[in-house]
Amino acid sequence: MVPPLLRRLLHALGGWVLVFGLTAVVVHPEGCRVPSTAELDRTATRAVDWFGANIDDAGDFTYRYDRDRSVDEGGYSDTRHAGVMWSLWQAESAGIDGAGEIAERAFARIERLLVDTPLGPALGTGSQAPTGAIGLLVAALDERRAATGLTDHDELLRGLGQTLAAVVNRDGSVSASIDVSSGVHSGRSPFFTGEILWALSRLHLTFPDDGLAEPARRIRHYLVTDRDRVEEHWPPVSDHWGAYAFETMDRWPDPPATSAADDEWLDRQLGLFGLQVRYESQRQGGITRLTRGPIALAAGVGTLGEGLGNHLLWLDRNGQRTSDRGDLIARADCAAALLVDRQITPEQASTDAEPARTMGAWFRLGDTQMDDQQHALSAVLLLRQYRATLASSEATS
Amino acid sequence: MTLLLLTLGLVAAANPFRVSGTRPTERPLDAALVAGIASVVAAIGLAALSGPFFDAIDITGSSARIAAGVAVVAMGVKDMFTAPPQPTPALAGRWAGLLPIAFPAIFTPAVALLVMAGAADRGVVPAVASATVAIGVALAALVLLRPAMRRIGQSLVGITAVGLGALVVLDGVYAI
Repeated sequence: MVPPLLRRLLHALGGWVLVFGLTAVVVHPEGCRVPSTAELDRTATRAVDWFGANIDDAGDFTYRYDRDRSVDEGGYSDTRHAGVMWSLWQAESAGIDGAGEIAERAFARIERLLVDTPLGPALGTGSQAPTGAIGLLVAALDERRAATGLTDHDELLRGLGQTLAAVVNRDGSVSASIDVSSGVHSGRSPFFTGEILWALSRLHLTFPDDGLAEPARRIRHYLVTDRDRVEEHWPPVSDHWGAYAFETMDRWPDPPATSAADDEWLDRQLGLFGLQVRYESQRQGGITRLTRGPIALAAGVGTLGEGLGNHLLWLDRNGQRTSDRGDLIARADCAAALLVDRQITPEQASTDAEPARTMGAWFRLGDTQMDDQQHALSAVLLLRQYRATLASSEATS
Repeated sequence: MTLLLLTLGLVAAANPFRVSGTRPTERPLDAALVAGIASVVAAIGLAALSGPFFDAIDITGSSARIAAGVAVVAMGVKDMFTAPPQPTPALAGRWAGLLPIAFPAIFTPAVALLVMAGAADRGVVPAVASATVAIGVALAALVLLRPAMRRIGQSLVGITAVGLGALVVLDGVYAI
């Protein structure tokens, strides 16, 4: 017979076990770590090597590959092709060998896709040209210009800039596509607003007299005050392209001042990035497959790293959000570490039927898509860049 | 998490009407004093250990707030539907302040987790200060409240705890 007092104590402890058990279902351990810079370098190099091994003579990349069946699943996305070119030029700027050469080969596809519209040059094969592809191509060619000093694409860049300026609506929203023959632009995309803002921001730095600051400022205002409410994206968009844009605009000679609306938007964005990293880091296999589902696409995790990395760069530059800095760095490290740990190594690829298709790539449920490598590469490069910036500012202080 | 939310959350999690159910018939003031000292000491210990504890189980401060909020909601639901605890069985005399007043009436898993999550977010001193307020309110209720008010009061505070717990969860969700 258990004494009543002991029974009361045991009953209470049982309640503690139940409540802790409930919280353990809701909140799992977050498998985060800090990747070394050597790991980031290796990850970036292997991702670039994957692009090098998976580009054909026409300048097209392997778009989607099934590792389990060793099958090239075909398909393509011009927007993602432009995005890959950006990441490769970003890698070239960061000193990753061979990245620029691969990006130059990829330009062959761009040359086939370029089309004249009443608004200016665009990319596309059908009757509609996606504007986001133009935005990312601008970023890629602008980064090429910065990395190499080559100005042979300046005319194209300026033309693409004018096309982008033409699809910015009066309220600052951007159209997602252009009718190639009529020039009528329409539609919305969750990511094109940020992509086009970023592209125009870059072009304003490169060609400051081309009148691109005004449409860029208009987009920025729309992005932070109206976009989420008007376009009603669900789930809410964690806008890594918007983060690229904010970082770039911060480097303007006359950057926009951070408004209260900017701060509110930034609060939501940083929270979204942080939440997603924390959630993803809880996907540790085993029972977490039941409670958290399978791991996310590397493209998704990569965009988290890109968003965090860009925001860290410009916030630190201005001494803003210093109280959040520790958490932001922890999340950026975590996202990068997840990517480092999930990349296919040479040892893992050696047992595959086509190791060149798998080594350096990221797979989810047996599939990889080229933007997995794109966003993962950019994420680790941004963290590398941020750490270099930190080291440099610590050395000079 | 604001200090206000932390403090209100702790007051609701410590549910003064629930704690008042454990009022001993003998030496209630002595028992309240023992309970107060023990509870504040426990709060200091939990707050001080919050960092190493969350590091050991690999939980960020933001996620700790989600866990704490869930616990507050769970205890709030329990308080809505169960009767207040009884003063017995208990340790004798003033030591009833330890058992059952400090534990398990005041220090529920919700209070413990919220103190720790609050310490991880706001620092040890603010978390202990908020916990001290909650403990004080609970013990004031222990000494002053009439039995007739306990059942309905516990349920109403339970409802409040559910709402405040949800706010703590959201605070953790939207945090970096």
